[in-house]
Order: sequence, then C-alpha cells, then structure tokens
Amino acid sequence: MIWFCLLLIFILLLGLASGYPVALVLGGSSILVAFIGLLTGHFDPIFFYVLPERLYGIMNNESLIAVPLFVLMGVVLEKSELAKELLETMGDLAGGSKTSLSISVFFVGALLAASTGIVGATVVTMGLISLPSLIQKKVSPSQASGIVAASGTLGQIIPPSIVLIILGDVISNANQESQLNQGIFKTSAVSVGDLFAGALIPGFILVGLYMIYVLFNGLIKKGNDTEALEKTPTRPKVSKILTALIPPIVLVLLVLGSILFGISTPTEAASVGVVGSLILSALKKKMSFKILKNCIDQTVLTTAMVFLILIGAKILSIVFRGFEGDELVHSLLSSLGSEPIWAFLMVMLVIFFLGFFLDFFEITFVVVPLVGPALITMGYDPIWLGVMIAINLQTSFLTPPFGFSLFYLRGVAPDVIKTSDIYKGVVPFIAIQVFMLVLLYAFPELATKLPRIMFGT
Amino acid sequence: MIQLYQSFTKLVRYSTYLSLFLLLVSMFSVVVLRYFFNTGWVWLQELCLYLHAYTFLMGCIYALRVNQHVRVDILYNNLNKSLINRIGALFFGLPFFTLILYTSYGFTKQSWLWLERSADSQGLPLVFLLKSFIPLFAIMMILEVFYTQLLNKGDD
Repeated sequence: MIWFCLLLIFILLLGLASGYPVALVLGGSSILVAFIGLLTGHFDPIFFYVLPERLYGIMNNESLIAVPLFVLMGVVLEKSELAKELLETMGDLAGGSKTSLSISVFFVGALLAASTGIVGATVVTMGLISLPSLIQKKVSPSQASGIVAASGTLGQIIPPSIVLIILGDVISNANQESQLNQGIFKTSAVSVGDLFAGALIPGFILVGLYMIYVLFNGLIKKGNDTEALEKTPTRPKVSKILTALIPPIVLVLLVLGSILFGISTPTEAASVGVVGSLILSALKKKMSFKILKNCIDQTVLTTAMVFLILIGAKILSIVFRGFEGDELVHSLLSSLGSEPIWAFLMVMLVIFFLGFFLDFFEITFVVVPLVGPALITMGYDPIWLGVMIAINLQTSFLTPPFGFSLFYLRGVAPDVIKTSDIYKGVVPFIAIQVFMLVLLYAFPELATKLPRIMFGT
Repeated sequence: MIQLYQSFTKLVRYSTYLSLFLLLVSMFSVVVLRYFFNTGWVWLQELCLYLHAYTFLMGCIYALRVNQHVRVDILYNNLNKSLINRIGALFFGLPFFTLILYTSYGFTKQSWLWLERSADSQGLPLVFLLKSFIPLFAIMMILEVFYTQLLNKGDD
C-alpha cells in the first residue's frame, strides 16, 4: 500500500510540474493510480462509489454559497473604483505624508482585501490601486512593494475572507473525524463563524505590527518624510469623506459584525454585502450593465476554479484513503516523537513549502483533511490550528523567491521597481509574520478566547 | 458541428451569469424575508443551492475554455503547451470526468426512479434534477476537454 501512496505522490508532483490544470491533476493522477491498484487487486472499487455522494455533499453545502457572493462583493468594490477612492481619501485625510499613505494602504488592504480573499486577486488589486500612489509620494521602491505585497495577503487572515470560509469547512470535518476516532459520538462542530472570530484578534495584531513597523521606519527617516508633506497639503473636503470613506467602511463592518455577533450566517451576510456594494456603486454612478456583466463574469470564473479544485481534491482524498494513506500519515506524524510539537512543526513546515507551488485552496483541500484529524487528536485546538495554518500560508506566499504574491505583484508593478526591490521589501514583513506565529503559539488564547466569548464553543 | 458546439457553450456561459445573478437575488430575498418579515420559505433556500451548484459546475466549462483553471506555470511557460494539454487530457482530464460520469449514473438513476423529493415537505420536489447536474457536468466537461485540449481550440 505504501508503494501506491508513493506512486500517487510521484505522479501528482509530475503532473503539477507539467503545468496541466491543478484541479484535473489532483483528480486525474489519483484515478490513474487507483486504476493500477484495481488491476493488481490492491484497490477496492467500492471507494469510487463514494464519489457522487461527496460531490452531492459539496452541492448541498449552504455555507459554501458564501464563496461566490463574497467574491462578487470584492469584485464590485474593485471594478467600481470604490476601493481606489477609499484609499486615496484615506491617504489625504491622514496628512498626505509617506508614512500616513503607507498606513492607509494597510488599512484599506485589511478592509477590502478581506472581501476577495484570493491571493492573486488581492495582490493585483492592491498593486494597481496603491503602488502608483506610493511611488508618487516617493516611498522607496522596495518599501512600497513590501507594503503592497503584505497588505495584499492580509485579506486571507482578516475575516470575512474566503480562505477562512473554506478552512472552516475543512477544519470542521477534520474535527468531527478526530472526535469519532476517539470514540466521541456527540461531536461538537466548528463553524465558519468560529474561525472568523478566532482570526480576528491575530489579524488585527498583524495589521498593528505592520503599522508600527512603518511608523518606526518613518521616524528614522524623518527628514525625507516632511519633504513630501510640504508638497501636498490638500485636505479632503468633508463631503468627500462622507461619500468616499464612510460608506464602504460601514458596509464591511456591518457584514462582519452581523456574522461575528451571530445575527446572520456568513452566506446571508455575503448577499447583503453584495447588494450594499451594488447600491454604493450605483449611487456614485460607477455601475453600468457592462461593469456588472464584467463583475459577474469574473466571479463565475473564480468560483468555478475554486470548486473544480475542491472536486479534484475530494477524489484525491478518497483514493488516498483507499490505499490506507490516512493511517500512513497518522503513523508518520506520531513516529516523530512523543511530543506533539514535532508533528505540528513538521506539518507547518510542509505547508509552508507547499505554499511556494500551490495556491491556498489546493493546500487546504488536500493537506488539511489528511493531517488535521491527527493533530486535533493530539490535543491541538481546531480553531487555533486553522488560524495558525492561515498565517503560515500567508507567510509562505510572501517569501522569495517562490512566494505567490511576489509573482502577482511583479506582474502589475511598473518597471521602476526591480524584482530585487520586491524581494528586499518583503523581508521585514516576513519577520513580522514569523513573530506573529511564535506569539500565537505562545498565547493560543489570542485565537481561542474570542470564539468562546461570542459563541460559547 | 463545431459551430453548433460553440454557440451551445456560449449559451451555457450566459446561463451561468443568469444563475449567479438569480442566486444573489434569491439569497438576498431569504435574508429580507427572515429579518423583516420573520418568515422563511424552504423552497427558496433550496433554490439557492440549485443555482449555486449550477453556477459552479457549468462555470467550469467556460473556465476551461478561457484557461482560468490555475496551473503551476513555473515550467509550463517554457514547455510545448499544446503537447502538455494533450497528454494531460488523455491521462488526467478524460479519466477524471469519465469516472464521475460512470459512478454518478447509478446514483442519479436511483433518484429518477422514484422522482426523489426534498426531505422537507416544504422544499423543492426536484432533488432528482439537482443530482442530474453531476452526470450532465461530467458529459459536458468530457466534450470541453476534447475541444479545448485535444483539439487545442481554447480561447487563451
């Protein structure tokens, strides 16, 4: 059986490296190896018949409806230029200096990136919106690109992100499986709302640390900063603040608040978010039939991409289980030592390196169902584990030379910014990320306390 | 024949736009009914599931056509793309959807035989239609893998 698992991993890696669509490689390589197993009598075809049930399970899962809706909300805010206006007004309001603009970028990143949550999309959006303004304010190319790359990945950890919705679904399954394995049949559920609440405080700390770093950096180079100040003393008008700044912030806070206070489910809140953003953009006369069609088009494509990966990953996990791969992973992890921390570190390291090649969805759908139950059985809190994985991946996407965000940023950055600038610029932010991981490891309450207070879980 | 197929897939593409839009309208109506009128229609909530399933399953066909399914493109950009797609289609893509078609046939047929309804008496009596999306999706993806990757006719 172990040979089949290894063969599966080998063909999987080969297929991924070839550049054939990831979703089809995940499912296709599994079927190929399962077929070899079937012919040699090592694979029970009964496993294949679980497949339609699993697919139907995805179609019947109401919390996954939040995915297309949140994507649509993010795309509407981006395409109607509400996001851009928000950033510019905030920068002006904060005094128009380099430091204040940089801080506004984090703020807007945290607020707006939250709604799309897809690494590529948010980094590209933040790059297009904020990179030109930062360069114009004479922020150094390396610092500007570091700020944009880091703020673009914030969207994964700050709720309501799609990443957390999907992670919530996967972690919840892993938790149930772990409890069943331990003979606990009255399973307690982990909801998407739990994970949102768990990620909130670590997310805010992360933004805070980013801001402190930029402020600190600005103080050291005080001379340069004032120079920019003299040139642009344009204070925004009150009317501009009222129209450009307040409405989108209120909208995002309303959506987030109603989920966190248990008033509505993430799916319901997402639909309100979309309608709200459509109304805002219509009021500003930034919405037309053509733009709406564009937004819907992009949302359909993104949603289809995500769900096909989910389907491929389901096939992979069925086949892996058919070859007893789950037991293999479990025994591998527990053989690392009696202390669970070694298993945990191993998993985090593997996820970190996978983050160089695979996007968030592949990792969540493939790796977490395999290692999650084992880690939760070892005593790790499922919500805490989810937040740790999310921050870990965010760090991975920022790390040169393979980090996903950096590729996307390179794609939209003007030629003044050298690739080496981008690499240099992200280093301080990677340090902050690692510090955050250590902090969360030392104080798990940062992630587990809020869900307990809000939902009593 | 090819032209007929092209117009058909175009129709499918626009139908996903419509279903996403209807999904938004239905979900928002669920919210309005619940929080303003303190009521809920089970069939409307189930309709959301149907529309959502239709959107993401049929959206996959259009996404394959315009090459929107993510790839690990570190090596891919320097390789013979059409060759990779042809080999991939034969070993990964076609087996993938053939297996879904093969296994979902019995699953869906069962549901049709007794015209399966929603478990909730207020729900939609159309579960057999929802289940039929699975083999339908598989057939259309087989055609699309054939068209986009084996015949190399995608809109890149």
